[in-house]
Amino acid sequence: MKGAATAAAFCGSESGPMIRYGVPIVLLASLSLVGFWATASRDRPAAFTYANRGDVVCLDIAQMTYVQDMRIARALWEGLCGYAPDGTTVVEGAAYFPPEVSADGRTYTFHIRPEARWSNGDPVTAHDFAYAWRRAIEPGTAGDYSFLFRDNIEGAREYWAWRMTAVSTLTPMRKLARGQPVDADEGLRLRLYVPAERAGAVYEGLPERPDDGASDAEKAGREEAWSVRCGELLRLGAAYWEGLADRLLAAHRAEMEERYARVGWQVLDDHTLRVRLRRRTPYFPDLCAFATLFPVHRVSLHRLWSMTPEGLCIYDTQWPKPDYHRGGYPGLVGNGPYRMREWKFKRYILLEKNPYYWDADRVRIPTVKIVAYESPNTAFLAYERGQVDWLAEVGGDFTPELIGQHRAGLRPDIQTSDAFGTSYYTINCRPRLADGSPNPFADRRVRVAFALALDKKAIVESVVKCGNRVAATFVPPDSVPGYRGPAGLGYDPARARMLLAEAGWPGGRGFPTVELLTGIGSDYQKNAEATAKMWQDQLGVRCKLRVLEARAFRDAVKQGRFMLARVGWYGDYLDPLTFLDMLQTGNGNNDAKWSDPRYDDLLEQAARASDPQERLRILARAEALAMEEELPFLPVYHYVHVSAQRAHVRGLQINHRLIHPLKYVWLER
Amino acid sequence: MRRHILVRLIIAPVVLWAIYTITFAMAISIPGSAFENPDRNLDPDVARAVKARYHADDNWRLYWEYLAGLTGWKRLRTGEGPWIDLGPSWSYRDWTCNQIVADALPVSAVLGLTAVLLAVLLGVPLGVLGAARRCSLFDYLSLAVALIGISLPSFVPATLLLLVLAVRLQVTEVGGWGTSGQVWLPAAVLSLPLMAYITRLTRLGMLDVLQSDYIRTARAKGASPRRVIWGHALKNAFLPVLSFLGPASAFAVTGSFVMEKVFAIPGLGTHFVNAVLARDQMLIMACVLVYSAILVLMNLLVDVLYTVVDPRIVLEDAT
Repeated sequence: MKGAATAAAFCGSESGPMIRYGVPIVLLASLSLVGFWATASRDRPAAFTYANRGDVVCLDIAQMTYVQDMRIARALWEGLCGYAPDGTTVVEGAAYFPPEVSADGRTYTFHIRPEARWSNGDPVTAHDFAYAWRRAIEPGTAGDYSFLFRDNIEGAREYWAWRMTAVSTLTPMRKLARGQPVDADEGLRLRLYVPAERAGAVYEGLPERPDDGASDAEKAGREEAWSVRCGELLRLGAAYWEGLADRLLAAHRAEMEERYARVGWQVLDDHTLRVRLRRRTPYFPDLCAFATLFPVHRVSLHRLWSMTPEGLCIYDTQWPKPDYHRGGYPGLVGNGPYRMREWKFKRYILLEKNPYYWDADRVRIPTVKIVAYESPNTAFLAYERGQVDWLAEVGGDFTPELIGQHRAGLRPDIQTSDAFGTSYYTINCRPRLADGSPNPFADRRVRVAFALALDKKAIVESVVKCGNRVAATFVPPDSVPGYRGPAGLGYDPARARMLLAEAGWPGGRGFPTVELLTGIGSDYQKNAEATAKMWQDQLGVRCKLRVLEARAFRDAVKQGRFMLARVGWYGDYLDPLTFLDMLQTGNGNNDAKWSDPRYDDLLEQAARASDPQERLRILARAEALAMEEELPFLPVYHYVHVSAQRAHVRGLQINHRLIHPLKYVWLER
Repeated sequence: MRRHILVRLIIAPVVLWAIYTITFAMAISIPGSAFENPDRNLDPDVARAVKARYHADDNWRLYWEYLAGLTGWKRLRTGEGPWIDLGPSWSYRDWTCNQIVADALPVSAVLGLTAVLLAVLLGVPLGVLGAARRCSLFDYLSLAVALIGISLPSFVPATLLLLVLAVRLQVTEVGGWGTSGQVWLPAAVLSLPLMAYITRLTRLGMLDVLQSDYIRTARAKGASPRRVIWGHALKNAFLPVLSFLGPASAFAVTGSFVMEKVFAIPGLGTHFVNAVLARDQMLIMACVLVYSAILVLMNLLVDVLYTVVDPRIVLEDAT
């Protein structure tokens, strides 16, 4: 009786709070259970699991830029050449090695092995390579690394330029056809296409396109007026522009194949590809092992191709997925040692051995799982827990301690190596700063003084603490076989003060406040603070930090809104030029806007040199000019790469280029 | 009430459209571009072509085409694609925002629901007991939970729990999504601040209500203390908790950046932050719109629930 009363009291009399509150709770609970069951990935264990530092970004090889993506690309595809486990030696790939090279070093003939197969059994042909390479120089599919083609292969730059002219003419035409306004640049491009009888009406009274001489505000105002006027007038003929654009596109497409035929690669037969280079390029085989030069399965991929009314070549962006089947597309087809079985976004990529791979006997792991951890701490915990066999990049604040333990012999599973990259300050060399004031760093002596006054050893040892090598040069020493770079500048504060005095600032008096620009949260922020302190103490100049978010930082650097900016650079191919060409006049990555005809001339000489050793010597002279006399870039240290692998993982050779071909990895249990 | 719900449902698209417009304007005005690598400069011609491919060079066109995709107009016209098209992602170019949201939202929702559930199941009783036995052990316990929950940044307990439970004791796995341990652990941590708020709100509400006349009446007529507290007082004391639960669920369901990052959970919260960092305008808008839609719905749901919990509340027309 008492029990019943308690129950009634608890439940209340009418509807009962227990029921009232209980029902939604049970509902919520079951909802979350069902949801969990539906979203939980039926996890498939793999023989080998590894984790990248970041997540996969993009697996379209023409647009790929990140290290982790390229690592996967090397498992899914195979270029004409490949890399040995050391990441330095170029070995055979889908083609026999070495290729035939002409006497002038500009023509390479590759013989693709007949047993090379796609993951669906189709033979790999020279057409597949030509098709993939064309994707890399077509507007719409070309990505960051398309410069490898434009800079190196004959005719690629011209084809690209011809295509871009058409695209940038068609784009404003289509805009006008839709009744949208065009801007000043676009309007100018259309001048040619306005019929004579209408030209007067359209362009009469238009102000000339504003030039750069005017002040910013004035220029903007005039641009605005110009574009509004253009837009108003040109919009009158929407139908006209539509028709004109259609005719132009048709003519353009008719001419396309003929223009493409002039690009320097030529399919001689199904298994022979001949490449004509712009100039002697001794590192071309190395480039052929680079992801952007990998082939694609032409037959299946072309089903997803289309051309936009603006003349851009586009593909359905979802093609690099194994289970994508729009319009009869079979899903991703590759020619590498592995093929993709499953790609769960942000969870994992599952690879399995490609049974059709020509060298399949050498591939010893049946399945590979690639997992992504957003946080470097979590990635390391997962490794410690044993979920991950190989952690390709160890990051996080504890890295210095880990390296310390490794040095003390406590952690044999940790590996460190020097990387093919340099952390440096790019110094603004423009005569004036963004705010219009004269730039003290335009003076060579000031740049050298700042370099001499920087105690890089102290930064490496007490701030970075990862065992980095101090950098006196831009190209990491001993990284490119046969290349002996200059010694660079050391630490010499006395000479630094002397140079600064010579330049007109004895004791740093009157020197404008030096602004150090860094990206937020980057490792640089900490050591930029130390740097500022050193310069203050040694040179007597005032320094302050400006910290920007990564992409805002990139914008600021690109537009020259900085004095000294902390940046880094990793080499793309095994040649000093991957670093040194940045300082060439007009190079898109020459953020310092430094220009020296002597340097340009040396690079030109190197390009013409027929003896590879002589070429490297000339490049070393160019580097000496930049790193010992001119200092547009102030190198601080070379990067270090830290990874962790379990004892049973074999065949992974740590190397400075972070190239770890999965093909050669095996497990010893 | 039916009319009230109807009006709110009609206003919702207008609200979402306004949010879309504001987000669009903000997204195009941040410096930096999704198509540039933060470490190096892209050739200006290549940048132009890539932007043109994604219509990023033409904001006017992008605005209307995206709107057409959102409203289903594009689907009507072309007969192809999804009815609500959130566009292609600019930072994960192999994926569409629809796929990303469809993949991540349920994960975040499960995590969030579990966290809210935990928070209510533990927070409300703690608050009630704290109020019923003022200055007792329970009261101090509930105060302690609240203090810890609010003041401790969640990555601290998260990392500690991972270190102890996953790495040392090997009870669960580090990160990922698939086993029940991979839900409970992050959900428990995520529920801490929510639980803290709920505990305090319940306790305050209870203290307030327990002073009121009708409680004295209930006591006087001989209702057991248990009945008074759980049956009479909680009903009224729960109202502030309920109004907190609306936005809290929306917040929990759309994912928590920190939790998802530490536990490597493939949820929407990380996309929210990463999209902004990557200047992925498409994904920014997708996340904001999904979040807003959920928030609008949750607020409506809470309004309706008010009338269920407290019959005295009658929803008036929003006009």
